Amino acid sequence: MLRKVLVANRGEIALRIVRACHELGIGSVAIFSEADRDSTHVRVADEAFCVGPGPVPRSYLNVPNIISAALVSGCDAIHPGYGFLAENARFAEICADHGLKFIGPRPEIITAMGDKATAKRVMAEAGVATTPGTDILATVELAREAAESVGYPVLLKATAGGGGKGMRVVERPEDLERAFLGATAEAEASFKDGRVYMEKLIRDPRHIEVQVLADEHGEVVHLGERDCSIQKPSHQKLIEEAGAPNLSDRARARLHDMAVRACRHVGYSNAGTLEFLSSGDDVFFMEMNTRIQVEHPVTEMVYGIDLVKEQIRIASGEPLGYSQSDLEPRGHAIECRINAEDARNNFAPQAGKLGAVIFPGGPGIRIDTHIFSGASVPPYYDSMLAKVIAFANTREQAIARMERALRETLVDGVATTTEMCLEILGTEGFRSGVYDIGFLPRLLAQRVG
Amino acid sequence: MSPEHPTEEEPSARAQRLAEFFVNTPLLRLRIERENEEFEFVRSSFAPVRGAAEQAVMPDPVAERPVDVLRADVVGVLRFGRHVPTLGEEVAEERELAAIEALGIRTSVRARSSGRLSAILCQDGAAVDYGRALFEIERG
Repeated sequence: MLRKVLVANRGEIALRIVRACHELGIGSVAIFSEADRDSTHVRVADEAFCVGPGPVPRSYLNVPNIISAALVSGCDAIHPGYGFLAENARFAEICADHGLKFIGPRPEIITAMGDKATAKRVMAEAGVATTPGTDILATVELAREAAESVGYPVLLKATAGGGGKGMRVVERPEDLERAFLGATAEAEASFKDGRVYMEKLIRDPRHIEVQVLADEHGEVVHLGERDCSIQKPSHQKLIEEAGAPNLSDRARARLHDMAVRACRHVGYSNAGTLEFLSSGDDVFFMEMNTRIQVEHPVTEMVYGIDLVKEQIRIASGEPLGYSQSDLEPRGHAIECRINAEDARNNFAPQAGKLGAVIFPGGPGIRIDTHIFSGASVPPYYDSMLAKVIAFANTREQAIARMERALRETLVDGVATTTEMCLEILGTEGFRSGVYDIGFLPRLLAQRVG
Repeated sequence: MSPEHPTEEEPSARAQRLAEFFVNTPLLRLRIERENEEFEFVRSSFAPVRGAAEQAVMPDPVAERPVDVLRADVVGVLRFGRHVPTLGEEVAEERELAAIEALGIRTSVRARSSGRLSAILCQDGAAVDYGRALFEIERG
């Protein structure tokens, strides 16, 4: 087993990883920026090192200071959490160069999955269904030929992309050139990589993802699916649930099978998530996230497995110790993200000093958070303050439990997404479980209208 | 940010009042320069960094003489040079007091001005993090 882990992150996920280390009986070292000096993960970890001032490039992306903190504190591993350096293959290589175990897959897997066009090609080789589309398109002329072949409407996507940057929907041939030039320019500006590829546009799909765990000895299991279709107009997730409601047994089995097959094909190890677009019984691979996800707790609740501890065990070289037949989901879990955002103002992020903070409790409620009464919300970072997770035997009971929990939640001092989540939970669309990624944008548009 | 104060106030009383103001702010460092006087207040305690060496000498929290606080700007291990700094010694501007070793690179810690070494806040061999106060120099 690893002896001491540096947690290269902040906020609730840093605290989550430190807690896993404590329960495994291994040492934990937190890093923090000057803006996070009073944060909970700093207080709870065994040791803590300031790695820079508030802005992310000078602290949580300051690789020399992070590696040095790991070395001087005697760590033998680094857990990157999510975001920041979690999917940075070069960082994983640097860890290895300094004798530090990167808790995640091998760098070459991160590289392959980080490039969306390569990931799609690799997945297609593994027999995973991918959206009809193309490889990298070098010119407008090639894009025009490809669009005729794929069939309009099409989606132009940046191969290095994420968060909707470098993405354009093209409905008609006459719009293609402008969209192509816009997508490549935006991708170049955002990722320093202007390459784009094309996919058939799947209208109003659901976003369904499959959690996988793979050890370093070739054993791979899935831990079911999550429905993450409740997304803000910016495509950021707001509510997730496990399992996905109204998914046919056939589609569910296909998703699980493809996820495991893909991991075996690429020789994946550690925790990962394969994201799919689903429309009816059709499912198409979208991308793979080679890290722990924000929404991992809903899977933990229905499978009774601590995914972060599993990541550390796997990185220690231990075998999973169980197979697919040992895993059986139980009940239903929903997660609501409590963000410091003004939902009535296009989810504008909020910063400042919090007043009273009171989180709910009671049966079936789990809170993953780093905030407390009087804590500061710095302007430099992601606006997520907490995750409220409700677990119950049935989806109906989980919704009722979540509604009760959100009504008990109090976060004074900044606008939050609590009320927005409650509004969504109360809609007929959500309660019926028949919703897609356009659900929240349509709800917001109706409200404005 | 600077509090107002009457001009007839004695410097020591002014320093005391400013110190009281400073301890009630979240600031790590406050420097006030006026025509004929300068005040600098530096918070001497940081969030606990277990594993790093304890402070060797506690600084006077209220300094009436201008004080330079030399801080670590990288994470690493503090190493004193052959000329080990001694509390109370006079140091010249640009004198190397120590270096921070990190990833095989040595980053000098040098006096920004000449003066008296009034506090040595970390020991040789200590793990230091970003912003950690290492030395204080009363400018002379």
